[in-house]
Amino acid sequence: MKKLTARIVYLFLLVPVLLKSQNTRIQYERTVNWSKIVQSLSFMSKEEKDRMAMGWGRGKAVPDPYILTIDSVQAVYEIDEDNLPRSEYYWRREKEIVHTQLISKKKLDYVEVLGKSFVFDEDLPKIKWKILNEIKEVAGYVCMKAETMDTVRNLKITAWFTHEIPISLGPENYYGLPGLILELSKNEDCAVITATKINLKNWNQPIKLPKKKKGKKTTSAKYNALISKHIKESIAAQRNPYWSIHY
Amino acid sequence: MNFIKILLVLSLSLGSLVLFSQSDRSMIRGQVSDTSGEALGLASVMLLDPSDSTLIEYSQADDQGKFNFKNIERRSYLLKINYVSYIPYQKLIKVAERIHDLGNIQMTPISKELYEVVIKAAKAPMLIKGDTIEYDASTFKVPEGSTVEDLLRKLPGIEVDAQGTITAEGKNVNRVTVDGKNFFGGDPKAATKNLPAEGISKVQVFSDLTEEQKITGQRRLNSDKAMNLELKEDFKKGGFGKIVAGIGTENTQELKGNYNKFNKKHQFSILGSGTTTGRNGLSWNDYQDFKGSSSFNWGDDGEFGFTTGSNFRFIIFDDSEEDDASGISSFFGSDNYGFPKKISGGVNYNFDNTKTKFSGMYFYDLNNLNSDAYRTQNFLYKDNPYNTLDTAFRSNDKMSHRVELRLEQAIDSFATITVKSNHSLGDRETTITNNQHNINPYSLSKISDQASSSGVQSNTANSQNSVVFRRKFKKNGRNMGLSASYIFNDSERNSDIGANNTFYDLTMVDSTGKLNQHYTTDQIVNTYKANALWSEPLGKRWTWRSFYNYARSTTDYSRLVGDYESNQLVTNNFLSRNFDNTNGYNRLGQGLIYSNQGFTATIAGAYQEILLNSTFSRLDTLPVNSRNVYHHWIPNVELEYELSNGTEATVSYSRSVSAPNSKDLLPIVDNTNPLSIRLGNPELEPRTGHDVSVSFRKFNRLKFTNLFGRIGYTYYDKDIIYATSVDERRVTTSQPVNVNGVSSLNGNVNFGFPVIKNRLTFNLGYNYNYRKDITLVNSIEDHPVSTTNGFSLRSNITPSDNFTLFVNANYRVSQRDSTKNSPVASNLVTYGGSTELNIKLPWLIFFNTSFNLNNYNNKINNFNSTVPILNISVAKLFLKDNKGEIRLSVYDLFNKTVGIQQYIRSNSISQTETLSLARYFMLSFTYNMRGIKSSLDKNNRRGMMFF
Repeated sequence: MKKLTARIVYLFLLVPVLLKSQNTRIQYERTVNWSKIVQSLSFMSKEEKDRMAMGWGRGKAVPDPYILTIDSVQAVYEIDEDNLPRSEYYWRREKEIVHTQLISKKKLDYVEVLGKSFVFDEDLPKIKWKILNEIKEVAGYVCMKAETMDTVRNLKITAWFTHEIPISLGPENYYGLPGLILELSKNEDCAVITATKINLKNWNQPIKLPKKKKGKKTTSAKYNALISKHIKESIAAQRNPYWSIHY
Repeated sequence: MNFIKILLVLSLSLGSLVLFSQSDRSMIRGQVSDTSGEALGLASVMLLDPSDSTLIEYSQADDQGKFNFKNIERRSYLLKINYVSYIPYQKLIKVAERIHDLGNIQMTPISKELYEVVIKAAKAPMLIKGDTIEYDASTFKVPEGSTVEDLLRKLPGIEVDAQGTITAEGKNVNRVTVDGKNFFGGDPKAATKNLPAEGISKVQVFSDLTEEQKITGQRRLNSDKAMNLELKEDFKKGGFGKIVAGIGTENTQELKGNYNKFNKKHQFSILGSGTTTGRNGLSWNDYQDFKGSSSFNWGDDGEFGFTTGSNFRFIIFDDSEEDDASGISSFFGSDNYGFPKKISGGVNYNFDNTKTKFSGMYFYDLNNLNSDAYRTQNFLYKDNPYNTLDTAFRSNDKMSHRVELRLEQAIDSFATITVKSNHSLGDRETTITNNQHNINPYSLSKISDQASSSGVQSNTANSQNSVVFRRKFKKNGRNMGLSASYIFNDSERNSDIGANNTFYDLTMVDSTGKLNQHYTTDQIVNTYKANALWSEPLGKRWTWRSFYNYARSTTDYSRLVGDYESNQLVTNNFLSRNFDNTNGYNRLGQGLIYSNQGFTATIAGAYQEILLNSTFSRLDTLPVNSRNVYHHWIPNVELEYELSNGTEATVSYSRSVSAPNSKDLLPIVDNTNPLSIRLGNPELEPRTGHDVSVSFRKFNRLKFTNLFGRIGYTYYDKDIIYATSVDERRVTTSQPVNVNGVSSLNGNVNFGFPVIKNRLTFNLGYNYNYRKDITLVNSIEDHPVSTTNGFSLRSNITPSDNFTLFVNANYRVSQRDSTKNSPVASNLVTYGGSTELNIKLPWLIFFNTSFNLNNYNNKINNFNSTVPILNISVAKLFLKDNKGEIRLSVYDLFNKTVGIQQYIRSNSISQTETLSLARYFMLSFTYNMRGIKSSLDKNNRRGMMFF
């Protein structure tokens, strides 16, 4: 109990120590379990699903590093280029930058998907959360469980948020809980995003904003309709839609 | 500091509701403290919808634990308060008045033991039900191989004494069930001492009631406890299997079965198959089911080169007489012409955990193939042209045993060592009876005949062993690799060759007309290889790569030839011989790689030395030596670019070097075959070429269209060809020589697009091949040019889930221009098409038919053949979960199957027809424990890995 109070006091009082160092940043790791995703594809037979699970499905997935940086007015969530496991070859990743304006409550995301680029400039859509009676620890913080639905992909989203960091943000497009989301699980761990390192210093050091990128202006409604259509068409064509879009 | 307050206020209000008018609004207030009355400052307070726990509003208490919600709707709320290490507080409240005062709310701490053990140590989620707490046992870490008893010792609230007696919350546990069922008569110790902890997902403890108590509802206060262990889902799945049996006309039979047993760490599988049809042998899917997690292991050979993980080879030593070193995957998925009989099967075991991966496999294969083949070859020389007609009956019996072992061990989080050891023993018996006629194409008079028969019996033993060590470093991107391998190859052959040559030109006297010989050959090859790699990141985008390859290979080859003379074997000194070769290479390569956002550029180079030492001796002559050393610079440049709109382009240049065959370097005359004499050339240099390729690919993932194109050009500044001379008897003498100027160009382009998405799609393809050869026949140099143009069209018609139709058509023309030496131009035309129709009918009945038509045309010898093949089958699924299938099939209804192959070479054109199993009817039955797929595939993928 004292620890918590101390932590929050620290957060309020000692934060503005202006060091020429890093911003407030939360590092996440995103792990995708492909063989589990395949299990949910209706056009595959039990035999084909088992074959996949028994074969390469047993291999270890390499997580992708993501980073959420926050200052007093905005937050950016994107892939953490500096911590990508280095190899000699980088394939091109489709960029997805979640950019949130905290004061005007705007969504200013930039998304590359299906060979197209989109920019958003709209009010943050509201997320309907259910709060559940379960607690667990993530990255040293006690978190409470909350659930919502990804209605576009039809996935159950489980979020673990902590009251100890009263920031109503989280990874990807998930926010609106009475604390920072430190873990997010999609469809019973088909994809898991977990916080690994939390640095709450230097709140007032402005974060580095992504370079202004060109893209077609869109809204969440239009964008979701596009993704929905792609998923429907891919399933009808008996292909895994998540090879071409983010799960 | 103000920033934080702003931030908090802002972020907290992200979840707030739209405001309504003031009049019917209320305010809620209260104060949070612990059971001793101490304020719980900064506790988090939420208002939820009582019907579904949806979050409506939230707030945070101040330093004194005081909180309030202003201006909220009058209704029922589920109030929820959370504070670290306290049981979340929950209460249903009905807000009717203007100010709803909740007064002081006391929260109960989670017992320290539970908090420390469950939350902190096990990191297990805790489920709160009122004042009690449940948790998931599977997250409690126990060492591998622990029993349930070891797990229970770790759980808070449960104690296990030295005798294994369990108490929960101070009460005796007298009954243990597994998935609700009694385990070994319910003796608690039998279950907890024997079951592995890793199979348990949940531990549930409850009061044990007797039957009487259950009926009366009477509950003793001091009742004993019972415990239920819930098994994990993947421990429940014991295994699965499949059996397919078929019997048909023309003495056809098929039997195939497999069974897999697995849990999280172990996979065990057996597989067996026997067939006399050549079809439905073992497919790629069977291979994956059999090998499980060890199906794919890339980069095991550790032959580091210019690119990551690639086993790009500069040199192939081609001295081996037997074609038999590939892995077991070669047993899967091949169809043979002729009349095959095949029996194969094996066992595989895999062990996987985070640090160790082991797999072991044994496989047996017995293969018998009988075939009758007719071959026509036209040798289009200006002087002394001839046609050869062969009629061959071939019987081939192959048997092999194979053992593959592989261990991959992580030493720590940075280093891995992989040890691989594959062994095989093979037996082969081949008999060939061949009748050959050589004819003058103008006069159609006979030049010569050869009737031959041979029987070959061979044994081979192979052993491949390798160790690969890979290490990463703290510095992101720094890698090293070391590898060593030893390959042993022994093959022994015994063959009897009998031939009768008749020359019809009576002016010539022929002394080698009859042949009756016995050959004993033995070849032992020992190969040692060692490789090293270092990869160093330079800044964010650059990598420097350095590698070294070493190889030494020694070959001992001996051939003892005896002539049968009145049933006595007399050694033939002229044909008996020994080779001793020592070959090897050293290669040092350096490369610089730039990579950023889908753009990769590689500039690399290697310096290599090839050593070829050879000693040849005959029983009647002194040994002859050759010793050659070659040095080469090998540049390698590659550019790859990937754009965000799904476009990819690659440009590459590399230099290729392949060493000559050792036998071609020796200054000897090989007249093993009196009709085809070969001379060596000690001056021969390696074949070197420049390869350039450009490729382009564009996918539109929104419209499902794709476009792909590639052009490759190769120019050999030094090629190896065989200079040939043909005499009047059509005896050819050939010698390898180097020439400059052979080149080839090939390109293809493919475009796929839907006309109606998911209903009708087309794929169009075109490919082009151009090749300029150099030939030297009777000292005349020629530059024959051959080209191939091919067109293809594919269409998938899938109007509904119950109907699929796939249509393919292709057309190919190959032609060779006339030259000085071969004044007759030649061309081959092949065209064909195939359709496949699948219909799913009611009552789980499936109708499938495929029709293939191919036409082969060769004007030079007026060959024109059309082969139409029609297959039809009807299947019905039955049994629970569609586990059973009964199928009636007819293959090749028109009885037209024949294998046809056509080739154009620089001075010749050939075609082969092989008689094969044609029409048969078959009734087959399948039982699949996992159920048979009851939907149609829309992508015509036939077991390919697209999903």
